Amino acid sequence: MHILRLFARDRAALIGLVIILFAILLTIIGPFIVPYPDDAFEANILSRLEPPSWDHWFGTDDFGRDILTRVILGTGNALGVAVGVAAAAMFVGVPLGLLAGYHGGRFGEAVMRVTDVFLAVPSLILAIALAQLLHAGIGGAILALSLTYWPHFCRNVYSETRSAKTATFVEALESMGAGSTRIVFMHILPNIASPIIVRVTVGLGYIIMTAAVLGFLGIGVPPPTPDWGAAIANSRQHLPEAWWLVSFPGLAIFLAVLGFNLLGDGLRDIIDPRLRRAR
Amino acid sequence: MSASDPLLRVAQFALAFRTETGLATVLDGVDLEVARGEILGLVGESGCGKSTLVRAILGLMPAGARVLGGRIEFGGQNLLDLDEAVLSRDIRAGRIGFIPQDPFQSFNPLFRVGSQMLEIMRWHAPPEIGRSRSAHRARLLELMERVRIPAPDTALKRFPHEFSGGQLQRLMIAAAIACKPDLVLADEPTSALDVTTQQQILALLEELAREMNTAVILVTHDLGLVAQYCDRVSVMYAGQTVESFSHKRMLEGVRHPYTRLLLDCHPDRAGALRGIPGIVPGIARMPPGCRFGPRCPAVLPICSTQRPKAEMLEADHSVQCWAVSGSIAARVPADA
Repeated sequence: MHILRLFARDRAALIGLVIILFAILLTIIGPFIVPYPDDAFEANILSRLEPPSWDHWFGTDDFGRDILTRVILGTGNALGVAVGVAAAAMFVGVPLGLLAGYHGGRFGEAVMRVTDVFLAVPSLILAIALAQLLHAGIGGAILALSLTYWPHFCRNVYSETRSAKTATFVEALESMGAGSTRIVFMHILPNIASPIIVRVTVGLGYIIMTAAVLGFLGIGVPPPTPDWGAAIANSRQHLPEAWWLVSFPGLAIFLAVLGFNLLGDGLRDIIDPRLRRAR
Repeated sequence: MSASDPLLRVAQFALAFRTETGLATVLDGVDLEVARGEILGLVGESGCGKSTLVRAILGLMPAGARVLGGRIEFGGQNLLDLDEAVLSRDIRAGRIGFIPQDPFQSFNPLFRVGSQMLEIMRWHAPPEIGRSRSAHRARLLELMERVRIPAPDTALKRFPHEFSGGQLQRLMIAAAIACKPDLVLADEPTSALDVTTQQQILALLEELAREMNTAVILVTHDLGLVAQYCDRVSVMYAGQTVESFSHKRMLEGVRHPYTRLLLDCHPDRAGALRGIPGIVPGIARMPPGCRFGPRCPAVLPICSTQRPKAEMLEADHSVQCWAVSGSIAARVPADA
């Protein structure tokens, strides 16, 4: 209840939350409400490149497919990639960051240097290279993005663990013979959960954008599966006349990223009272 | 006390930290003995290595620490020979309890105090308490009654922030003795509390220790507290034990200039508040010879070149000081 009230006061975070909930809703009920369910896969040459109208609110693309339909169907894809990447990156980055931060020493140094190596390579280029090596498709895109994204998590968790480790209760637990695994996962992890949550939320927006770039470059899901990034790529040859081709998928990406960022910022303020803005 | 068989004997223990400029000796030839059921005060200024010593006894040394020599015998066993897993399983909590300095930070803020205390008992409760959760709970309730926590039943379900500092420290005492350890290490257990609470906590600790025949090492820089609660005192300076004596020598019998100055720091004795000029040298810049030399009012030429040896003045009094052993040496021929 307390958290909801804080949300209600933070208008930006509330907007973010609404956008994200709306996107999740579209993912679930999208396939049942889209006006032209068949347009997901079938071309309709007769009605190609039609501007927005009452029949096609967002217009049609160069295969005559309804853009509204394809934008809605692309939502699930974008969210799925984002959640998949975040989950995979957390699965690797969080335990590694925790252990490296807690034990420190050579092991911690080694882990940090490995993350340095990953971070030194621009993530998009690494993702493109990996996606080319792996089979095209959503699994490959998720794997590629996870590989480039886990070091961010790892470093974040590492530094949080370093500071949580100095808490007296950790020393008290050590002195009372609690095992290190237990201290790390049962006591430190819950204490650093909130920064992790914030990091994930903001990260989801970043992943959606990177995934769209991969789609734009033709490395994401294979056509004709609806994809925001791929839709923008296809629109290039028809610009500037057919402006609706690029505008609506672009708007969808923009809103999704904005939503996660606003939500992440709001969560940070709510979870960490020290950063809470006075108003 | 049988001097030949103490519960804990720290002998010539030396510990160094690795720093950028090489090894820095933090503890250098520490000697300490605690008998079963005895309360030992460990006194010294900040930075003397008291806390480091207490943690070393528990085997909790920071990364980069290296034992240079000596022994830490506990119940006839050299703790320095045991590896981390054994220490964690058999020694900590079960045989040596620990009370940290700041009660407000000593519990994980996210969990109920009851679950945290039960967690410790689940790993370390001795067989006579029993293995079952209900037995552990019963023991905890009984202890909380003993440390005068009101309504123990509901208190177990409360979160750390719902208690006052004094209450939290009582809970820490309960947690430290829950598994019936032979020795409790209390690292400045009352520094974070106000003076009246301080007295209550220490009185409680003393009462429980005497009742259960548990030995206690009370780390403090308050000699007033030591005079009130401790059977014996060890004084540390710059990583060395400079003087050890029993309670009855406290007021008139101390010999080391540092101990005397410490006693003079107490406002009740000196009338006005006095300090000791200078500060404890940093671990990287230890003076040769006697480490207290540069601040000592009774300094001799030999102090700056040679380290004084521990000298037994009486069965219950040893001191490391050239000025003291010099006066003995001067006295011996006269007696002979």
